[in-house]
Amino acid sequence: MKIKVRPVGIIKKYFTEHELESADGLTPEQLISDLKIPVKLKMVSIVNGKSIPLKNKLKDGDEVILVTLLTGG
Amino acid sequence: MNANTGKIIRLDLNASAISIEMLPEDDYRNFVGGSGLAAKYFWDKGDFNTDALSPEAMLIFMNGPFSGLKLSGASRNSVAGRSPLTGHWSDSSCGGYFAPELRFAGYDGIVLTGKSPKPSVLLIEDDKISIVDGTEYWGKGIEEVTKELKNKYGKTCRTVVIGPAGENLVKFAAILNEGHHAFGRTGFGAVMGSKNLKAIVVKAAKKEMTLANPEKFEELRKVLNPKMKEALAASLLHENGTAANLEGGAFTGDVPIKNFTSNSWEGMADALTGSTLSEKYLTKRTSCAYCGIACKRVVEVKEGPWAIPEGSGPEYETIVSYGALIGSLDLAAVCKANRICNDMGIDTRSSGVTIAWAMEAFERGDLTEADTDGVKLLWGDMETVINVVLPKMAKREGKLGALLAEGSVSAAGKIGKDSINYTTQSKGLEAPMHDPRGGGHGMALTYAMSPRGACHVADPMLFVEMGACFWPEIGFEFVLEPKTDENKPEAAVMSIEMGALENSACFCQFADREVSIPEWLELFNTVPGYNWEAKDMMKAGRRIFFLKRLMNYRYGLTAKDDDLTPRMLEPARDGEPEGVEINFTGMKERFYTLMDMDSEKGIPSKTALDEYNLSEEAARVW
Repeated sequence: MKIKVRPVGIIKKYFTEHELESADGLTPEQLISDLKIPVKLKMVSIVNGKSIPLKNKLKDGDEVILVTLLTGG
Repeated sequence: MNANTGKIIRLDLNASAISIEMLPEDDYRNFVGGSGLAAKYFWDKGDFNTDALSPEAMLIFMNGPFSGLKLSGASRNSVAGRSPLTGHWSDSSCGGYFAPELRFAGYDGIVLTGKSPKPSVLLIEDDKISIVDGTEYWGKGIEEVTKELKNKYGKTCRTVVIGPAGENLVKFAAILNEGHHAFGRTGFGAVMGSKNLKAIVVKAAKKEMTLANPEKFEELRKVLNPKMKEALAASLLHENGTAANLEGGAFTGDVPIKNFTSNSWEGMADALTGSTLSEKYLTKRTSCAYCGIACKRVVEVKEGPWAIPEGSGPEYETIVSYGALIGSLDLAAVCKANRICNDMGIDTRSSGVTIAWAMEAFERGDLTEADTDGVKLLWGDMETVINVVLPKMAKREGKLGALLAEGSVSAAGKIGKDSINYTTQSKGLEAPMHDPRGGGHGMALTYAMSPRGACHVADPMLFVEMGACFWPEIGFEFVLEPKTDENKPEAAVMSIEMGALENSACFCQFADREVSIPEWLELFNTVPGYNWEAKDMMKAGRRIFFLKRLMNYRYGLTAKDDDLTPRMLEPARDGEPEGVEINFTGMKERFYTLMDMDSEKGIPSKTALDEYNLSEEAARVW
């Protein structure tokens, strides 16, 4: 299946927006690991505009935004 | 006594009477310092019937035990007392350079009462303390007065100064250290103004402290400073300031837009984020005393209508308050508004939130040109905000200035028409720029429980829900999903205990995210020398929270005041959190149970107070 993945904010330092081919069953959690984003960052995956649990399976054509909540005050 | 000096300056401005008072060592151990120690002092010696702006009102500046250490984030200071904005107990914290200088001069705090017969300045030069004439400074902006004071008393002196807003008793007037570090919240600038005290100047000849175990502290310091500086979050803060990852909040719906009516705005993230500020306007990065992180911004806007010379730059909270919240994506205008607020001595958050409320009221027709001296309050109209609204507010000029200078709750009370429902506040304090509907439901709970009112730094729940807090030693092992209520009351209990400690220790919440529980203990055990175990430390945190709850009860607050406004709890209208309900009532009930708090009075049970060594205090309320 084809997935489009886009970084937002500081995550841009780890990868750039791109499309990838993947076997079925890919989850945002696996994607984050594959992209070598530090585990300490609390990540949120926004798929087609809504956040989904990191363990949910993605499907063909999904657009995934990866973002960390790290924010100022 | 180690680290702390045990001494405070007691000043009655009515008679220019200055005395030195020793505080009991047990009070330091039980209430840590900063806002906790100030609360204990006020409980014992303050008057709960005194109006916040009357001469008899007590204003307290208090250091924490770590002020003056060469340790990142350790030298903040608290100001505390009854807030003129909210009418109940409050405290406000500030970084900068005031705390270490006060400590080196020989004092842990300053307690002010009375009113000087004419504008004055408190001058502290070690054991020489005097009240000097401040008439020449009255009416002037903070930047100018800070420069003049340094010219007169030497470049190395440290200052806290109020601006015209404080003099004019604007209810959210701030106090600024070195012209750009703010005691921003809840209006203590107005309390200083009501006392005719324009400034405090501190100069210390020596820079020395006595520690319980200097060798062990030095070992710890050599671990902590690099750890705090090199942490990922700290490197981001250094690079792009507190707005470094505004994009994250923009996509999750954490950033409030147009008075919390929206959680999504295409283009907002790129327009307002910290990297954009760096690219367009940043000239330098600066820091608070002894801090290696250096998250402070120095900016210059070279051209255009908001051109400003090099000087203090905005923090995240100001960027959103004077940006998305009032319908603007103009970052140069934010820089200009920030500079005006700093110079006038205005809290950017309460003022921005109040303006956002007024813009919505104007749009709805609840506020008309008859109420605003003919001024149209339109979303994103920064020219009107900067050139008309801010000056009117600071001077209480005309109907508009007088209305907005009281804050959003008072203003909503004046115009009625259910406009209180779309204020964004708790207990009268305007909300921070993190919308719990998008940022994390636990923040809705902690905003409502915060003794001073809606606040994201009374405790670190913002960071807790981000997954940035790791406290296995005290049983914090939650994996939290921000947009649910699951485990939030349980997490809030620990967050509130830690927050009370942080604010009483006067430690920066950006820096101390990297400090583990064992390292916190090592700090308390090597600096003031408490020989604490984790349970003692956490008990102090909860004790401080409990005491502040009792204080607010004496000011008339009860459980029903632990609430947010309808606007803040209605499901988000758009963006990522659209339609999601916050289970606020469920979280509140569970929190009350966990803390053993009375569901009507809003205070801990007598049993709980006894357990936390607050039996004498309990006798006043039970």
